[in-house]
Amino acid sequence: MFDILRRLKEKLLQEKKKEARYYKPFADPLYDSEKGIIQDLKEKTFLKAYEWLDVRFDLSTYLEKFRAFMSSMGRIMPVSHAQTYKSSGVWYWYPFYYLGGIAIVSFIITAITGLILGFYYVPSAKGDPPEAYQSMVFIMTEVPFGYTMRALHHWAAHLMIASVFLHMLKVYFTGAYREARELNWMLGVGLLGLTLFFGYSGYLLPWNQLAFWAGVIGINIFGALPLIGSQVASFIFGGLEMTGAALIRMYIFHVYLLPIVVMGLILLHLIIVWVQGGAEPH
Amino acid sequence: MEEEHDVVKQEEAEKKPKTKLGVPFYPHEVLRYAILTSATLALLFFLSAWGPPRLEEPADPYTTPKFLLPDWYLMWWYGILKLWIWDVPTPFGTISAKIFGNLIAFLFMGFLTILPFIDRGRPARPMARPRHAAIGVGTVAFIFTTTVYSANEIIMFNYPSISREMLANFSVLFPVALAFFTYWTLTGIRKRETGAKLSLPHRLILIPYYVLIILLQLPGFVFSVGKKKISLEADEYQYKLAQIYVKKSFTGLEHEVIDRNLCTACGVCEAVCPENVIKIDEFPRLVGDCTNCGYCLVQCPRLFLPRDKVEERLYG
Repeated sequence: MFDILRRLKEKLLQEKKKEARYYKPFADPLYDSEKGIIQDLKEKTFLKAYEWLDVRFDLSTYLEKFRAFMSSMGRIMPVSHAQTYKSSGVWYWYPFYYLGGIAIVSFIITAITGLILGFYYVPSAKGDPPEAYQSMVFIMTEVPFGYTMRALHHWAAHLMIASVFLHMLKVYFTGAYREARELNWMLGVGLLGLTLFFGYSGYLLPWNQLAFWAGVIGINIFGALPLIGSQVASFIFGGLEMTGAALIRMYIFHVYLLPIVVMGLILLHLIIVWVQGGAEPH
Repeated sequence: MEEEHDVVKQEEAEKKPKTKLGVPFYPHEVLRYAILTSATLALLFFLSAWGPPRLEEPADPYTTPKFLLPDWYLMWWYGILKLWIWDVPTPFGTISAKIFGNLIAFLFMGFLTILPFIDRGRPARPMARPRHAAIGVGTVAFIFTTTVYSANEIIMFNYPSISREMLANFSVLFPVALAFFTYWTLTGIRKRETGAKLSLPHRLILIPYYVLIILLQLPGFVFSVGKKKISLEADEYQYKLAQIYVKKSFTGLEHEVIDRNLCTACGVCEAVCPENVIKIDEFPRLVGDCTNCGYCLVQCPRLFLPRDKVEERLYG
């Protein structure tokens, strides 16, 4: 992208110089015999926008610095394991290197569909049937595409958890967590735990029988922690029994706290991968 | 004097950028990611269309459901809690079975966190470290069997001939057996690679491995019937890719070679340019109008060869 911008700027300067030197009688500024008219038009509009920003924010200096930094890294994707060993089934192996990518794609899908579901969901356990359950019924029956949105949210969440598990297994079996990548591995284990809790807190939100009794199991599990069990359980569930307090806490974890934390950690995870490069097992 | 010379040499070697065989991020990696992302989205929409989640009965604190289970990704945890039914006596007092089961699961997560500080060394494939791989396979199998065990009441309800002890024994013994099987298979593969003789039981253990290899290579074999076999060395492979994908102009050369700090200023591009518009000062630069013939790019040896091979081809 930066090359295009630099090239365009040079081109514009050259054209200005040429025009200053001599007058071309039949030169159409939008006509380029090799590229055709449309592409040149696109370049011109793009250039105008770029110039507008450049005049106001001195964009080119920063872009040039960023470009120099990027090219100084000299990053090239390493040849995958299968290509190194000339194994015939490259395409059987390659998806193993994409499991983290599946997790990110499904995270984005859950974020988008979750936003839409959040417009209609009510986090309240009052009433009979509970208002949360009523709003779920409303989403599934009245809201246009609400049924599909919930299905997508559900399956994307499951896919994310499954791919995070498999991603960790791949890293384990290739020994990629070893020297130089210890911190990223620990970050990954933290992300695994957060993803599990993300899934669990979402599981409780519909406030149906499954959700309620899964919450009871959760209180039992956290309550059985040594020494600090009951404190942790009452922090997460707002008490040692399943009530409306548990629902509102899970709602806050699920739509406010966890998305911000997980998104930040995923970005950090990716930046570390970008700086360190992929591992090359031998 | 010699020592000083060595130090200087070492410093030079450190300054030299590492020559690594690789695939450029754009377009190769981006293309692969685009394909796999589309496949992921297709899978998601397929699952949503054919298996939408149901909305069960509303929450009712007064009726306990017949079978209690968390979601599938937490079932292993629940399974461990169900599996460990013995109180543990310690000098400081007895730890109840529930707390000890929880401790096992938490200690497992803690062990995972500090794993890189216990297991040091270079990244290696599973074949090179069979014990490590066997422990991994055993753990995965244990997570699978505890997941199954957490649903023991449902299984025993549907199949009355299965008892709780049978399930418990299975969920402990199966992972151990699978770990040993993995260890023997991987050592067998390693021995076969080095050309050592294998004993008869070792050969028998390798049978599933051969079946797997045949199954994996079958589609490739079927598609390759009647087609010309292409075998390319790694550098030739890079060269082919460059010919196919890269934009053919001086800008392409700039993007693929000069901007990546790969240029050695060897002068080939200046020599082949039919318009004589490339000049080399420190790096090649354009002094006239480029006709986008792409000769400079296709001829550039740095596009597909590591630095030492360029020197070998230029100076013998």
